[in-house]
Amino acid sequence: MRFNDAVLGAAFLALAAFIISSASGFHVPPGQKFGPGFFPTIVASVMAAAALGLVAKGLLSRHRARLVELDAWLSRPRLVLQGAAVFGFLVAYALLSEVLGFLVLAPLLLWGFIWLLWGRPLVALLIAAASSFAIHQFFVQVLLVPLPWGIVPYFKLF
Amino acid sequence: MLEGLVDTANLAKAFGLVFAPKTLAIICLASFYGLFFGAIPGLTATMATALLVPVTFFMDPVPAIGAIIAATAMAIFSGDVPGVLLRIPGTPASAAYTDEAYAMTRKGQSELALGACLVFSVIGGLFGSLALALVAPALAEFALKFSTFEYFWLACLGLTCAVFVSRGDPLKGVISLCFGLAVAQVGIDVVHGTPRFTFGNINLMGGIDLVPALVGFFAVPELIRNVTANHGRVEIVTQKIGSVFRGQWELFKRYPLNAFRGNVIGVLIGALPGAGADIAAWISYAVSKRFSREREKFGTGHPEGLVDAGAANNSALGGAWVPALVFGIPGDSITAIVIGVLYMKGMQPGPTVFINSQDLVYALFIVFFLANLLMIPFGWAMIKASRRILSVPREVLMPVILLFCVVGSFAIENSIFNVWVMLAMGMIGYLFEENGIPTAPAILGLVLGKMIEENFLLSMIKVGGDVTGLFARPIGGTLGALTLAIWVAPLAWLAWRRIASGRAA
Repeated sequence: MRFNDAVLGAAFLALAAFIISSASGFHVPPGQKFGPGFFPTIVASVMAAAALGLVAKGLLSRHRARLVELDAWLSRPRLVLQGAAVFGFLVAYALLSEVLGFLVLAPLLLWGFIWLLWGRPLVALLIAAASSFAIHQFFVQVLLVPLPWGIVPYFKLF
Repeated sequence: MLEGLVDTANLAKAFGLVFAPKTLAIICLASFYGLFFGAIPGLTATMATALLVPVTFFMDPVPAIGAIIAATAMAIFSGDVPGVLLRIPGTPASAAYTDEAYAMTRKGQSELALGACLVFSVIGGLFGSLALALVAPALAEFALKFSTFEYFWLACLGLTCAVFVSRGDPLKGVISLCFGLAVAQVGIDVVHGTPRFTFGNINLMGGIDLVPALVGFFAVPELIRNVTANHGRVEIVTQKIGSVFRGQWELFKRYPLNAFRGNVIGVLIGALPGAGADIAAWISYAVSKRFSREREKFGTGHPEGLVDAGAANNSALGGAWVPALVFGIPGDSITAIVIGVLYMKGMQPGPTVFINSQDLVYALFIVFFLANLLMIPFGWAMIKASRRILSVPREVLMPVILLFCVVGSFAIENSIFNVWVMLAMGMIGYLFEENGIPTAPAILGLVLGKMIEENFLLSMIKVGGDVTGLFARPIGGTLGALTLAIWVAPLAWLAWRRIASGRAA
């Protein structure tokens, strides 16, 4: 998704304005010249200046580009689905991993994603199960990371 | 101290640390990981580093740093292999000479091209290691005189440099940098203890964690690009790969100057903040072409440019570590990640690390040499196995890597919140790259943001809030003047051009 420079600039201008307005509310400790809001304000001011430049550039450019230019892949439903799958994978993991547990959720998500990209549901299931289990063992046993167990009862192989 | 004399006791200790069986095993594993990551188009050396961080988090300092050094050195070399065989660079650092290398393959010289990539990568890597081991301690001795004033200006200079060397629109570079600096300000501010931009969220109090941010920024956009691109199956033309070392000695005898020039350019570009192996390769390839006696042969499968650029991208790795270790200012995006790792390992970068942790610094140098020497046998094996490695289906690889990204982001603090951070940074990183906003300045801003602010505020407390105090010390003042000059120069030049063109019209 490519935005016109003017649109991009406006977005960053808004962000800079937000930072400056929040920073103005920070309390300056007595006896000090520079409080916690000083640095954010400087950074946001520089950002605003550059963003203004970008807006000007976008408005002045000879060939008036459209406000948003969509990538070629966005017109191909299949590729959109694959791109959305990355997003869905992450959101699903963040929402469900503590409920279901890594050993249930990870193979399911992997299976779905590999199936979608590659086809071959049976081989995909095998790969998904094996690699989820390998990653689980590596993080839990070797690195001692408490991956969420969820509905799976705790066990230890080694 | 650092009088040019090597402390033999610490050196012996360092050898002991590196050659411990466990450390060696980790270095070898990381090497294979790097070779694999570099060879798969779409997986970069920076991404390999970002994904290694969650794992190194649980290691001792030497194996942790050793793993990163080995993985990146190998990845930069092995990125050449798909360039030669498929005309697709494995990492951006190989892009400069992919066409040249593939042209050699079409002439039936794929062995010579692969061999040249390997041999001159090793030479470049060793030169970079040597430069790091010689220059860094000397610079560190000088840097011992620095205080908050100098560090403030150095960081400003580094960030400025990152904006200037980033390709594309400098306005977008500035925006990217400010974005990184702004993200670094989220959380409780270190000097005053005020929570900033936390929106009342407890998870944001400690700031945005670097690891999920890096994984999101470097890995997620690549994954999205990979799954939304429509690549058909690519066939490897070369059937059998013969002896890759044949003809390399002749090549070296013919182009010794090129190898040396590539090495030097690589180290210098690598040391510049924001510019890494990819830019080093582009520049040294261009220099090679410009000064070649057979310029017309470039582009037709001529190995000369490969010698220059193949050496440069590997020597850039060592170069990038110089400012990272001595000043805590990363030379490229890989060392930006490394600085985060050094902090986690209690090896706070800066000149004092050369005194307080001399054994660790020596160990780091040794790993650099070791990794580049290991590249000879491992790289050879990689070339031999390249047909197999390149035929691993990406449709399977990408989902598994995505899962690894999730777990890695989670593992640092065992927090689901970091998965959200990774997702958010990934989307932002994707939009950045799509819109031509360079990501390197944002990462440098994110890594250096806290340090700049802290040094500025501490300096201000020292001089009682008088801003001119920033210029009072000789070295700090010089650095400050230089920084300001770099900021003003482009504006002045622009204004002058305006006036000049106005007169002409």
